[in-house]
Amino acid sequence: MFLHRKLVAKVIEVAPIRVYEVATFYSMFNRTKVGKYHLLVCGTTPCMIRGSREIEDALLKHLGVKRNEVTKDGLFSVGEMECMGCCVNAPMITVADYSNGSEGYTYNYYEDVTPKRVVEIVELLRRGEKLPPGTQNPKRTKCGPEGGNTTLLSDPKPPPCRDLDAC
Amino acid sequence: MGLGMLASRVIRPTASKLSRSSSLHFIRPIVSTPETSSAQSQPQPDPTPDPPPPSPRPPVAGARVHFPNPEDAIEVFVDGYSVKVPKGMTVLQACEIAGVDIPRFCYHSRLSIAGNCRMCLVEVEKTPKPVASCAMPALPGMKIKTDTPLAKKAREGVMEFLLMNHPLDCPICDQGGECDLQDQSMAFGSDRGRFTEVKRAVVDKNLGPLVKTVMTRCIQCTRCVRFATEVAGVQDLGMLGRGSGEEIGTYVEKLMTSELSGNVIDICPVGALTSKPYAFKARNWELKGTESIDVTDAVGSNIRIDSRGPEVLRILPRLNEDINEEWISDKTRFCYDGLKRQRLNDPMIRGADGRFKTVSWRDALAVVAEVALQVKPEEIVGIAGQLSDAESMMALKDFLNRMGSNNVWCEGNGQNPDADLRSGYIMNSGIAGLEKADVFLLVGTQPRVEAAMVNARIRKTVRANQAKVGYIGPATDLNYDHQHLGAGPKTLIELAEGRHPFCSALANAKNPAIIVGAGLFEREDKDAIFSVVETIAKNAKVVRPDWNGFNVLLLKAAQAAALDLGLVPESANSIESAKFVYLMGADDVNMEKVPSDAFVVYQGHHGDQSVYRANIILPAAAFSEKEGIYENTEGCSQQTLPAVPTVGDARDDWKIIRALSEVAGVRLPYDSLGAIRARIRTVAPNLLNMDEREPATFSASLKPDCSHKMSLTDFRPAIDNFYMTDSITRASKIMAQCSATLLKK
Repeated sequence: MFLHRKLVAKVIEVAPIRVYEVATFYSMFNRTKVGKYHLLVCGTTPCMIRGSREIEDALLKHLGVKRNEVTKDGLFSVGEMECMGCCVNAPMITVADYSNGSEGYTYNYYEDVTPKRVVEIVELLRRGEKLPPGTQNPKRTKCGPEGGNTTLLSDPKPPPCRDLDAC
Repeated sequence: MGLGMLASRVIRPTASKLSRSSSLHFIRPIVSTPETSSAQSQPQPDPTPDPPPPSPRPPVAGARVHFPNPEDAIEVFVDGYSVKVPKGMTVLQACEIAGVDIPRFCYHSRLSIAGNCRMCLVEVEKTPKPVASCAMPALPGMKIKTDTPLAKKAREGVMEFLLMNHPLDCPICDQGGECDLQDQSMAFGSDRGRFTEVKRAVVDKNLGPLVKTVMTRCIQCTRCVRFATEVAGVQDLGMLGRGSGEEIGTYVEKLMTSELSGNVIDICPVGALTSKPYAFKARNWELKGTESIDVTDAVGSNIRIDSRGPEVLRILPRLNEDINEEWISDKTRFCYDGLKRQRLNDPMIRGADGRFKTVSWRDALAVVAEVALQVKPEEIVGIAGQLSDAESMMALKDFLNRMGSNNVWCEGNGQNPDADLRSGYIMNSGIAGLEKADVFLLVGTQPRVEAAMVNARIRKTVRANQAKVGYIGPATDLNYDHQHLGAGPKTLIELAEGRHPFCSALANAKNPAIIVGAGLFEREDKDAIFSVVETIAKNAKVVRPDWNGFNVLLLKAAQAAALDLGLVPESANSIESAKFVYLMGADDVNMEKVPSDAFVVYQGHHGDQSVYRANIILPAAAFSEKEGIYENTEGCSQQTLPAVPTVGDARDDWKIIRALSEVAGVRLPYDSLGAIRARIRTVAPNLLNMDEREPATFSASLKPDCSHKMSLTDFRPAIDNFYMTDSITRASKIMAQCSATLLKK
């Protein structure tokens, strides 16, 4: 769940400080205890503009914890992370799921979330129900626009130079 | 040679002649001699002639080029001048050889290259962007431009970023006046910044009693991290976090436990790591620097004593590639506060009540001379202390000889020193020569505490050449990989008889080096041990015409010179029957052996261990207050220079003995330092070849066979506490703090 630095240093035979350097550099290494479901809210610019702060506030309020704290039942913790490249579906959260051990570990993105939807996601996870990752906006397919495509509706015409038969 | 160079050679003498004549005549006469007219009419040399001339500037800071293979030389052009450098050198080094000083923060010639400060950006022709010169290898025909508008603009940009989060606290910063960032911001800094946010602040770290940290000033050059990992060999420091949260730190609040930690103060380019004892004491431009020699161990590190008035304020290393490179140990750097404490100011006599009473020099010398003349000559014993210079040891020996006694020795050399063959007590390969070795055998020595700078050399060699190290002695933490072969003479015998697995490593080595600790001098069976070590050396071909790897690592600054001068006692246990004991700064003598009715004279600068037994005290000058010759463990003699005046009524050691000899009626024939050095020249002329290593001429093969029996007791550590080994360091408060906090068992 989280990095035991002295043990890692022993296994890979380096000084503890070298492990600590790497662990503090990458935010994906958890240096404190996290919940079974570690919820990571993207806080980078596009998500922030689309309301990631409200999302985090909603999560923290619903779970009754502060950032990087674990709920009393040990199920949830909330953290922040940097851009995961889902800016087109901003805002997004990631759920690092440690409930099935390291074999069944999943790291799913939930995109187009709203403050209401993240609370629902938390409750679904608490009940152990499956929910499809990806966009949470039913009107969107993957990263396509809401309500279907508006451009590129037919196959684009290839440029003339690429039409080998015409030559 | 290009045309421009030739032309400038023709012009220069003429031009100078011209200026001289014009200043003589006030009004320059209008003449049309061919000489002057040619100088006037010569066209200016073409700025880019073909081919480019070699650089007219001298290399920066005496940078030297050494071509291991002449075919590996490549030619690069720095600002239009051609320069030849060996393959594999970086652009920055090439610029240094061409005489162009590139600004830098993270680059340090003795550390690995990080390339993270970006201050050394230069322009290279046909590259799209400025190049970080410290990390870029020089390539043949590279055209490097260091003073173009692009390079200047790039450096100004870097400087603006560095100053963005750097506090404006130069007036209260101890680095002020010797700060790289301050100096370089004079050239590349702007008088205003565009950064309007709040500057970042970083929590200060506790690195121990020596290094003060103000981490907000840190510019993340990582020099200290690389120094700790590479040179000091302690993996304590690291770079934690990322982005603007990046900071230097230790793993879980740890102190920096290195005997070289003080050097991070010197390599820190800003005021983030400064000296804790020196904090807020002085500004560097107020200080007088005196180039001197360290005496706290036998390495003889080159130091600069910075003083203001009568006070030594700090000690810094001086560059000496053969001895200490540019590092010094913490003991060397921070022992100076001991020079101000527990000093002996006046001559004193112990009264009948057991208390010391101040007397005049005249009375003190009269008493000493009277007692010395009353006892039998063979009951007179003289012991030189570990901090004695060669001149005073010469005077002590001459004085005792004139009194009829030959019981004079230097502490640390044992009761039965062997001064016959110089190769038997110096480091024959030299300290710098250790870098050529590929297998080390350390016999009864722990270089890390006995001679930290020698240990740094061994570590450097182990890192660079993967040299193997075998160690015989009590278990210890050397900061490099080593095999602990055994604890005592048993292992030595196995090695000598070829029964030990390490023998194959020694036999296969190209340049094996054996280092024997001088702690063994104190053992009764030292001759037997040395003969066994010589057998090992013979089997492994350690001494050859082209390589002499048989080394003795001495412990004390006076030892080598004492043996050179022949301070060898006539009988081993003369001290037990002594009636008159003359201690010249000797504090590590076992005073219980001295008979209770003996008269003990202590001449020295500190009220240390021997003073408790002394009947009379003669105050002398410490190493920072006198001019004296010291020979280091590799046989290189160097001299100290007086940095501060002596304390109270103290005098130089040799002067006291010279005065005493006159009162005692056996006047020594020298009245000046020059005269006593002339006397030394007749005994050990090598001591006067300053700053030159004098190798031993004869090797140990001339030694007679030893018939002594070796005892099988294990070797003991020669030094218990690295920080306190002599009267100065024992008086030092800083060293006491270090012993308390850093030497946790």
